[in-house]
Amino acid sequence: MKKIFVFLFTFIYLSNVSAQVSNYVSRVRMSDALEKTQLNISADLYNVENISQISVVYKPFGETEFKLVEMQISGTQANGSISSDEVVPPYLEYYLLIELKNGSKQTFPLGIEEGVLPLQIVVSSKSEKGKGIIVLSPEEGEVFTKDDFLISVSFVRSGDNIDITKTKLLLNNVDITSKALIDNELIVITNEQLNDFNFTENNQLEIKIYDKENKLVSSVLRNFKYVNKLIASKIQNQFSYNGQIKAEARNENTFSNQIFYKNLLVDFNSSYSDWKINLNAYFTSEEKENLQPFNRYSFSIQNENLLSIKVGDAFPKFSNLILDGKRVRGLTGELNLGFFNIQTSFGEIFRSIEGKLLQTYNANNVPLSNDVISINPLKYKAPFGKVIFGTYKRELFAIRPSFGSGKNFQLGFTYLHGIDNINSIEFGARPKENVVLGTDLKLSLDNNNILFTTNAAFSLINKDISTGTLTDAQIDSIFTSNKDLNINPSDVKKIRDLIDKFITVNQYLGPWNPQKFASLGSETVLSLNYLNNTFRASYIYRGNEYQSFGQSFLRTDIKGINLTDRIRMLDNKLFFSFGFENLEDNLQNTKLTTTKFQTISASVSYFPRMDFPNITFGYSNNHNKNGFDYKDLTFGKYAIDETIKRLSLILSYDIYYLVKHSTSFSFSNSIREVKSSLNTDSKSSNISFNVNSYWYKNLISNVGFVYNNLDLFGNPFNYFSVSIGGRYILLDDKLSLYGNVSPSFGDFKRQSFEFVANYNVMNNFVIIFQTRIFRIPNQSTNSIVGLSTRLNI
Amino acid sequence: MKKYLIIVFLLSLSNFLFAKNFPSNNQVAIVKKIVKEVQVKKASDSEIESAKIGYSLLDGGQVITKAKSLALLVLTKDKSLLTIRENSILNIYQRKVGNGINTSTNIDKGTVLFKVEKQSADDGFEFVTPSAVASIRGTSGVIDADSIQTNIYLEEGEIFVQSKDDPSKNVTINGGNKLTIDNEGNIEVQEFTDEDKKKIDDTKKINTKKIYITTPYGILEIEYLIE
Repeated sequence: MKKIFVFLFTFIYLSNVSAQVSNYVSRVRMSDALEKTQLNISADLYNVENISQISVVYKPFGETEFKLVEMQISGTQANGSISSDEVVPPYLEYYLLIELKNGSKQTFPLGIEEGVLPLQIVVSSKSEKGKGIIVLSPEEGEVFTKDDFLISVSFVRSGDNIDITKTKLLLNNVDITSKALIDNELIVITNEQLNDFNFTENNQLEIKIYDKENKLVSSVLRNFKYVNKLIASKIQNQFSYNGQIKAEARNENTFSNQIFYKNLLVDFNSSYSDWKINLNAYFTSEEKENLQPFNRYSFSIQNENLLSIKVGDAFPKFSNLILDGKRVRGLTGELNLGFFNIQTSFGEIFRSIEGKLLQTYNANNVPLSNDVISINPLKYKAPFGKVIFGTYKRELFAIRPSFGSGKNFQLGFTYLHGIDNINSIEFGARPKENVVLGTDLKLSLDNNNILFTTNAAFSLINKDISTGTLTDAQIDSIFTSNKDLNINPSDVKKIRDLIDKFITVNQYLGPWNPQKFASLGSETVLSLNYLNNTFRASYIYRGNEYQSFGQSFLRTDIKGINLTDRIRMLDNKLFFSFGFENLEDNLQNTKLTTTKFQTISASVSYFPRMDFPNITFGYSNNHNKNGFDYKDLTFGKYAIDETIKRLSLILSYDIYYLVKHSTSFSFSNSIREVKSSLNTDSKSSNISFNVNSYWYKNLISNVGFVYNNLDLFGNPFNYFSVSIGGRYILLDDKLSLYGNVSPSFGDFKRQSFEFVANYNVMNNFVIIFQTRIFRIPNQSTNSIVGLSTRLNI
Repeated sequence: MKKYLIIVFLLSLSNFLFAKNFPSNNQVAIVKKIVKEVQVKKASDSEIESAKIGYSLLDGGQVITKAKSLALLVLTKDKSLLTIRENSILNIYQRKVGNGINTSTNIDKGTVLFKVEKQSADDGFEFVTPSAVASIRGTSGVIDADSIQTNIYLEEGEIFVQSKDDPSKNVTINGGNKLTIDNEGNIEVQEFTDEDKKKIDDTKKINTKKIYITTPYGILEIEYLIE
């Protein structure tokens, strides 16, 4: 078994951030996980040549259903984000799903399907303390000249625990705190105090707010322009622009397989008055005709929240059930008038990829096989052929009119139509068509303390439209000759004519049991925020036939409730969270029996904001059972009776010894017990420890280790990894050097080394050199060497 | 235990009785932008001086704008914006009441464009002119006052207006309406006309143009509001 693992883990690399092993992901970085704030996730990749798609798979606390967000691959990086609504304390569980070009899938960390634990990230509650800080000036994107420059922060609303004198102001990473005039509850800096400051055109101000215990409670960023009067005069005419051009050349040498990559990214933004224009184009040598597109391009124009139109690649977000995050190459736009709004998207979601004819057959020697189809006898001199099926071009149209601004009320209706273009390729099978009709409602009361949302959708799917709609003759032949059906053919024709306006009507159209709500999907959520409780109750129902081309990753054949409650105590220092979920499948009795999925979870988090570690302790118990006894001779093989218990402890603490050392420790343990005649139990434990030390302003070091202990079906697999690295900035902040060494020992052996140099040749021109070397003892030494440049305009 | 409860009760009561209506000694607003000639009194007992960007106004602070001049104030409590147009005199007062902050803006004369953020339940915001008192909770529009009458052009939200001398004469208007009230409490409400809309648009214009003239003695800078 160890050999299998060694094979599995061949060509793996240790992340110095998430400390996990993977064949394709070297490390995962993410933005601060703060309650109700979008969480950005970035994965550094290698072996990109083999990757077709990467997704973040995640679930908020208390839920059992994982949700999926596609990541955008750009060079050796994939970026994705979890929407702010989903980022709730105490923690999120996530993993990455890597889809390979050969059709197989892999997860990061490896072995999620086999019972390896997903990663956890602690979600911090928004500090009530930082709530009352108001940045009066600058506004985001504001343009200043020397005469009207002003930084001002109001602490009028801040809590008693905030210490205004500890506030730090960093302008373009230069500490300008000493220049600030602190007057009672106001901080002011005008141009008089910054007369000798070396402004650039684009500047960034960071305001760090501290409490009386010297803990950072809030950090605010503002980007603004500082220009001379003539430019300001032009900008007052309200035209401005910025952009970047990024080019990368990279060589990957893996197992003697050498691949050279070239990428070019152009991003241009311009604004005039309330109008904004964006042009984005990404070209890569990975673009291949026989794959879905890797290149991306789009042009968009936007007027505040009123109007936006995007041509090219877009990821429209409609209802979660209907269209959410799917790439649409075409036109996407919305008009928001408040009392009436309209949102639409249409274009291509899959491009056509022609299949391949492998062999031809005559009528007398044609074999019976799924991949043998009728072909053009005149063209190929034979009536049948064995083919590799291609992919039809799939086109999608969605429109959602809605009423109400959404601030307190919104009622929306969505129509989606998706169809495979049967003429787009010659060798294809079972082109499909899909129609979804949905409605959604949002009600918000008492300043969002009561929030009610509900949406429902009904889908129709035709699984093969190649034969087209049923003809009158076909209907007559079926319903006239078959008297037992007792159906008048003319009634069928009327219904066909009605439905045919929306979707092809033939024998492949479903669902066949709409009266059982087989293709109904619905979600209803009620959130209440009172008495230091954040309570959320939801009900989901998704029939087994529910399908939308705009949402590929929805779990169907499931219904049930989910309840979570988070209690805030001790001035938001102590949090208790409880979750209960009860789901079941087999909604349309299409399975032998019904499986029930029940999860109870609880966690306690303590953020003392003083000399004591932040602690998050979580426990969950997931029990899935379908009622069959595994000892039953007839149905035992279908039995599901498993319990998964998970325990986690995360500690973080800043130690001040000579300098600041940010430490974190995590322990997680999972036990999966399966009542089965086979031994399919598994156990997984993970311990990790990490220290970031801030030696000087320009030197940060990192030391970490991770110990993994996996017992899969009675086969142990243990390894231990160390990671040592650091970042050093020199030459007046122009050159940044980053290095990391990570050896792994035990059942998995490997040594890896990473080095990145980032040199600012000019203020707006950067050269980045990156190399990664990883050696697998007695097997191979592999490398990635890349050079990229970035020009800001 | 009972004794402690009485003490807590008395403390709460004293907080309610005595902590109420204390004038705020904090900054009420900050000068964010000025065009041409603007004067300020930082507090009621301060001297009048030429305004500078970054100046803060305390309780009782005053702003005076001269011809073709303008001042933009940002309120420190919630980032509400007041744009004081030419030839205006505005006094600003602020009181801490319990957990809330009440702001009162007295417009002796002139035109003020306001964008007031939604006030919390504990807070209050009002405009006082020679003829009216207008209470708002979160709205935007223009208020134009002189010693005889007040015009309020309400773009969004809701505003409760009462006669200064006779509070029984009052009305609530919604966005899209113009209200006129005079010294005798006569109130007239009507929907925006094109002329009213133009008045609002003109009041919003705060961009300036500058002309630089090179003279033998240096560069002469002339700044003027774009009409």
